[in-house]
Amino acid sequence: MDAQALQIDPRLRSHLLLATLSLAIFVSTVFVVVAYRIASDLGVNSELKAAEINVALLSAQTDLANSESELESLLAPSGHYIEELQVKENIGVLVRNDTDFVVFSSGVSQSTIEAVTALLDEETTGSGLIELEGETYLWAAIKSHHNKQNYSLWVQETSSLDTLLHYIATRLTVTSFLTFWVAVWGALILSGIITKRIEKHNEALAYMASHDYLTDLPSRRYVFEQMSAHIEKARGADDCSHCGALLLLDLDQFKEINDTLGHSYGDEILKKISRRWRDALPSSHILARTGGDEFVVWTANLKTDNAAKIAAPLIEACERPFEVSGMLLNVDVSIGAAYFPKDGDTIEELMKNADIAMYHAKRKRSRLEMYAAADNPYTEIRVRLAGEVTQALSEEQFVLHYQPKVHLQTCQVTGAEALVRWNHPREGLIYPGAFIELIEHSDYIHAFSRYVLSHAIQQIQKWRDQGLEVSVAVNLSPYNLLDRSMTAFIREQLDHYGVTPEMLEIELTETATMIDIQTTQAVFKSFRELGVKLSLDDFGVGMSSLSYIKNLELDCIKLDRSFVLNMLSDPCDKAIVQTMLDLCANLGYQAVAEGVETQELADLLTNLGCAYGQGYFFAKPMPADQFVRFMQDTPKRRSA
Amino acid sequence: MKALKKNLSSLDRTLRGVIGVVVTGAGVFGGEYIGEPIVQAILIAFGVLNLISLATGWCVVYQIAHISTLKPPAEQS
Repeated sequence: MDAQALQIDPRLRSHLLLATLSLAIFVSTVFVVVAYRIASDLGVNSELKAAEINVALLSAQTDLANSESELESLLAPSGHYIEELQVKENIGVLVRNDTDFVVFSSGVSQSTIEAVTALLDEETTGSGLIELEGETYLWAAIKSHHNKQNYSLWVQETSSLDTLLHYIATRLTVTSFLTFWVAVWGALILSGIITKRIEKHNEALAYMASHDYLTDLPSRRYVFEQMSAHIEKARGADDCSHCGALLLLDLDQFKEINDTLGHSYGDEILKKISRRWRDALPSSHILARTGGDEFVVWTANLKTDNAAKIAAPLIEACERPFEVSGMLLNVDVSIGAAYFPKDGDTIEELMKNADIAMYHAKRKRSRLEMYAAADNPYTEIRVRLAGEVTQALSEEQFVLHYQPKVHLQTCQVTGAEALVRWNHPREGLIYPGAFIELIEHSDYIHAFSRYVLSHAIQQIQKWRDQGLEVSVAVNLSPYNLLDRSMTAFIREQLDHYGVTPEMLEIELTETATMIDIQTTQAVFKSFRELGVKLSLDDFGVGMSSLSYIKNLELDCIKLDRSFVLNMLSDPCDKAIVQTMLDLCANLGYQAVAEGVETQELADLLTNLGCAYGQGYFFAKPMPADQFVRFMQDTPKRRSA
Repeated sequence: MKALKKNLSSLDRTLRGVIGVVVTGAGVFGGEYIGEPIVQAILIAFGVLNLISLATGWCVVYQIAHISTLKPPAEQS
């Protein structure tokens, strides 16, 4: 997981320490080397200068000497010249005048002097250091200004220079030891401070990444990390010592609060509710906010029957209203629980199954549901399908099947009801029960309804081109009534395909008309002005009041199949159907019976005065091309 | 007494004891070799610091650098 990126690098401190120590060693090495070189260069230079002065003095003396003997006496050990020079080291001199040369040596052997002379060109003047059999000698040579024949060479052992360098080296060693020590201190302190600071920043970042800014609860990332660590640990363990439970909590009516009172109220509620929940839960349970109004509780090491116990205080916490800016607000929670490893051994599976359970809890208004694999098999698909609606729309995976509406006496097809099927590339043909509700609760509802309308209108045109005049009924969702541009869209589609409005029938279920009578009336009026037919679907099972039916000016009412199916056996159902048929007749609405599955039912309905029916007895919903064949066969069937 | 919380392991303490004795000794008796009174004074100071670390088990530099060589580390995360 990318959480790794935020974990503190344990080698940071040692790396930093190594880097600063290396720098300290490097700096002190450079310091020692440079200091030593400067000191030794200075020492050598001053020694050479002294030798040059000495040889210059010697040369001057040589010029003054008139004879060799005079020269010898000048340079003799007993002579005072050398003593006056106060040279403490062993030295040797070579002096040559017009006639001969004299070598004087004090400690430096004659052979050494000769060797030096041999190494140097006889005419060489100046000064320098020379290596001879492992020893270093300092030399200086000069030619007299007055007598070009006079040549003086000064050779000296470097012992004073060595002493000087030793002296420098000693001090430098001690100083560099101290410097290095201080540098180590500096390195330690610096690396310590830097590491501490980085660690602090990293901790702050890690906290931010693993916690929700609003409620200060752990975030989805944090709880997932904990879960995956637990799952990893539990892998291979057979007993239930590693059982866990994941509870998915979703607030009910939260969207309404956000929409009506504003997000600040919603945020305040989230804060308050998370505080209550946190207080209600033992610290061993992780409560995290995973999305807008979605929370998660993860508990490791739990006995299988304990989710209800965890959920109880959470539900209880929602029973008291929340006070926000002086207003008391009620918020309910729906909880879905899934157990690890029984209901899934990956985070994804647990989340998905807890979500399914939560969805059930919402539907049943039961507040808490455990995931059960035997739940509606479509439910699991539903979660997957929700993500595939856009693609299905663009790839035209939704197909329309048509069920004929038939005149009960003549068996003549008077129209068709368009019913949507999802021709899913993986799941095969899916019936609307599995997906309509999920589309209705998504943002795709308008696009979806337009898709269906457009395809139905197009089909009317295709059939007309084939010589069939069939009106098609399309079911609209209650939410479509809120789509202000729906009428304009229908008009545009009718114009586009050249279809007359009365060929299109719009069916709305009772619940659809219940949204708000004003809105419904206005939309129905606009549909009516357009010229399309209107019918009320599933009449009798919703909560419509009769005044609604009076006010809505319908063309047709479809009697719900639940009454029709049992009419033969249940006198109550028969009485209801009879009454509804009378009502339709008295109000002037056409009545259509749904769920006509047998000849007996068709006959009974005809006797009761119902003119039209729809059901498996006549035909199941079928694809458009099959519908054409069905239409063509109808006259034969009637005669049969 | 948070400031004087021990932060040296026994090995670290022993090492500091040896260094402290050697360095202090060098500072006190190695005047001729060192030849520089300032350096000599610094050496003695360093040596004494190490001897203090030996005695208390606490190092001021470790404290500032948030380092501890003691087994249950107080500062390390």
